[in-house]
Amino acid sequence: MEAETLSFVNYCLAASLFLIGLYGILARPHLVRKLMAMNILQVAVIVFFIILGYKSDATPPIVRHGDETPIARNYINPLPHTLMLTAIVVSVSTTGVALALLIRIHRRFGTLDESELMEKLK
Amino acid sequence: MQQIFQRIAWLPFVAAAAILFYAARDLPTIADPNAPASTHVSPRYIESAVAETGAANMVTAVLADYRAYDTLGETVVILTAGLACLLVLGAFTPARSGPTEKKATPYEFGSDIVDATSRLLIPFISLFAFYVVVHGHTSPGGGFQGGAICAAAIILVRLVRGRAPAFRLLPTYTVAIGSIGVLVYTGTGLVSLFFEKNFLDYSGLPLPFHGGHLREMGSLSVETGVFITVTAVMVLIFDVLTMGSEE
Amino acid sequence: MIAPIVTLFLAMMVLCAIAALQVSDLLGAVVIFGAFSFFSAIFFTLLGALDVAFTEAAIGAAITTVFFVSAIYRTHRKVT
Repeated sequence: MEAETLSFVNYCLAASLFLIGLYGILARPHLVRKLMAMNILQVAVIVFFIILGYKSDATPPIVRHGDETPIARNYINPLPHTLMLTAIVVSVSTTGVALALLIRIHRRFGTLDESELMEKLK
Repeated sequence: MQQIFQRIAWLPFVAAAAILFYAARDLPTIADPNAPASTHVSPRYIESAVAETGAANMVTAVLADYRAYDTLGETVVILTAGLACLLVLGAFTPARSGPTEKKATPYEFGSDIVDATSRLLIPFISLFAFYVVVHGHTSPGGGFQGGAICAAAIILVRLVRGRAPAFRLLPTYTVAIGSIGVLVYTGTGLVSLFFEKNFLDYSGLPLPFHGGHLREMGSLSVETGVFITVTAVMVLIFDVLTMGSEE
Repeated sequence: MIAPIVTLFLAMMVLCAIAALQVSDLLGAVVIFGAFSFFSAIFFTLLGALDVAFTEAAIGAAITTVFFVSAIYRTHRKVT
């Protein structure tokens, strides 16, 4: 397989992961599943950024021991990794707060299903 | 009306899929060293990371030194998430139990094998967490990873032993520890202001080092603040999520 | 030129994501979600992103799974 087709397949898989997350948020009625789908969405975005930062025949972005002047061609791009570290930590914070809200909703209404919640809120 | 919406709900989804797959043809080839993401900004960071900051791990150099202000915002976001959890579930006052709150049972496994194994593992896990934080400069690691591992060790103790473990931390103390972490971070930035440098400019710290070493010490103190905050907030969220109607 | 094993891991992540949203037992869905986090950590290691893989493994497998299990323990377990 040549490089262009393989790149296209990888990008399409990352996009389909994003779409699975989006479908889960829209179509699943249970609130915990919506939360899991949101997490899948976030991981899909992180996957896309990490794919963008990759270079062939390059090492991970830690300078080797005897290397005095690093050349940019030999190291993988560290900037997307930095942004994605922030994204992972923000995603776990959001998941924690959302789970606290879900427990509160369950304590108040007794159910976590969206259609039943819409009935009870009327 | 609701039925019509549910029937056509998949239509914008298919449209989004078509747009994304069509746009994927124009993205640069993966692993191409001449892609636009790798030729404009990043060579400057890769080539001067060790010389200027003294950190061999470029990701930590960018996170704790070149972009330290963003990491300060991120740490405050973590602390705010912990406080929001505390606010939503109300762990300071006895929680009003709704109509379907289950009777809160003690939260432990109670098995001897798990107990003995966890007693062996937990000191090593905590030590590894400290190692990861301190070696954030020369190997993969840093404040966030160390904080998550240390929080996992404390949560393991809670899971095995139930509500009265060895590390007894009420939410009051955990919030205080998390705030101390953010204070350490901001304090490192403010000290530079007293020595006529910019906020979070590590060359203004009054330590007997020079050049790259001084910036290395500055980013180490900043990573320690991040470690303290991440550990405290993860343990706080776990406590808030598992606290029942009992104390 | 990217290795085909990366595409294989990405396909396995897609399968895990579909499975986590379809299983009717919530505890099983959380376990599959933990496997999804683990596969994504391996994927990041294959692409050379060591810090991101470390953080994703520590936070996704240890912290997010424990949060979900403790929330499911307080609410239902079997849903549609």
